[in-house]
Amino acid sequence: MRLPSSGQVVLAAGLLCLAACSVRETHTARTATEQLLISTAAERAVERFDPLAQTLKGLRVAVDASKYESVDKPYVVSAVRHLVCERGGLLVDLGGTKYKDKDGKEAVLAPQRVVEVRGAALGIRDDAFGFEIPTLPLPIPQTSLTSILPAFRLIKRIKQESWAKIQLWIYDPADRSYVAESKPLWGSAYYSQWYFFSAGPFDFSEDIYPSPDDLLSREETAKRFGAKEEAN
Amino acid sequence: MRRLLALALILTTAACTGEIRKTTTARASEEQLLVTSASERAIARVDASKLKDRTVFVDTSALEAVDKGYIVSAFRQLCSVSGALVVDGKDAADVIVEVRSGGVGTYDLHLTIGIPYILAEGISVPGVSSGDTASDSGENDNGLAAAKEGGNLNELPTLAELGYILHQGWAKIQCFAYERKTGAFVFGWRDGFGRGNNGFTNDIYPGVALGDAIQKAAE
Repeated sequence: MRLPSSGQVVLAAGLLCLAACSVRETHTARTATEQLLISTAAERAVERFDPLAQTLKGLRVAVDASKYESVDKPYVVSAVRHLVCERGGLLVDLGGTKYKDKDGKEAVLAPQRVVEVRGAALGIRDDAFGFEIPTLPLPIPQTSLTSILPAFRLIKRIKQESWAKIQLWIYDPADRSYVAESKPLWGSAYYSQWYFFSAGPFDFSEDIYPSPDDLLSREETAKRFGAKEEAN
Repeated sequence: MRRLLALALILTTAACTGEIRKTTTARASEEQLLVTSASERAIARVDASKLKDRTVFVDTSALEAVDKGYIVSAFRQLCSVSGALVVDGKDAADVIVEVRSGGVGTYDLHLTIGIPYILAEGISVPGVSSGDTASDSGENDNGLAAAKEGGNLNELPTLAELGYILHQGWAKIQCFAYERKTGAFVFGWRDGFGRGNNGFTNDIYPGVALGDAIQKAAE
């Protein structure tokens, strides 16, 4: 019997060792992709309120989100407040912002306009399109054994598309009179995974992740947080 | 000779058993480091120079994310590094900074080429079970029948595989600041993206990963 060479023995021993290695993995409940799809669609919908938000310049504005229900509600509401404030609206609380005047008396800055938010939709549409041969059991001839033929994807796209539809209307809280309303504000984003001849997934087709050039490295981050250079 | 044989028998059959109790954390360190590194890098992009010499309250009522405490503290530190005086109460602040998260989570990519398990009658396969626990076929899982019944033919474990695993943490943090008394806009930031990476290269653990060393050598 021909004995294996020393090189073959070392290789076999190495493979056996590798077979025993594993690292425990955990993940966040929601993937980064799902969260970014939702927040990007919502952000784009809110941006469409811009023309109307500019009419609030110089006025005290409160944002009423009590009728708004959706996933990631705090993000959406904060995005609306951000836009209104950025366009010159003076943010106050719905019941008025309390403060102490120069005589030390308590006063309230009441809102002059209230922006009421409602959401028609904020979610993800999942679809898949392509040509593939599905996973099939593969009986091994002359035996009772069966293997599995994995799915062969000639070309396949699995796409997630997020959609947001938000509506805002404005009224004067002093006399409860109607002031203005936005048209339905739409926003969307997408993320696709592609397979070509079973190779993949390739996720080059998306509009939610930033370019790597826009990201800070570990060292740059440390500098911005005020870390001092270590002495050599 | 007999004594030697007896000794050999005793030594091979006697087992010294011992155990140190082992527990582990619910979340792996990798997940936590990915998420917190990404959050930190997203926050570091914020230009908070307009908060210099102002008393600032960081309002996190709109912030919903994993590791929220870490994010809040990192943001407070950034404000402080930018020259702001961070206070704990809204009433004590000139400026309120409202922070929100557009996403803090992990991105996991597994690319593998593998040899699937051979399934046969009466042989159970680790990780394969039918959805219905009351099986007619008997006591043990029947690998192939279980896989078909459970509908997880596409998720069968592999006997041997070669693969690449990439884990990334991503964070999108945005904020805006306004005067507490008047509600007037001070500054806003929408471009707060951050990423942590652990694959062939890694930028979350101290030290240098194999991929980083190779990249450095190639430069």
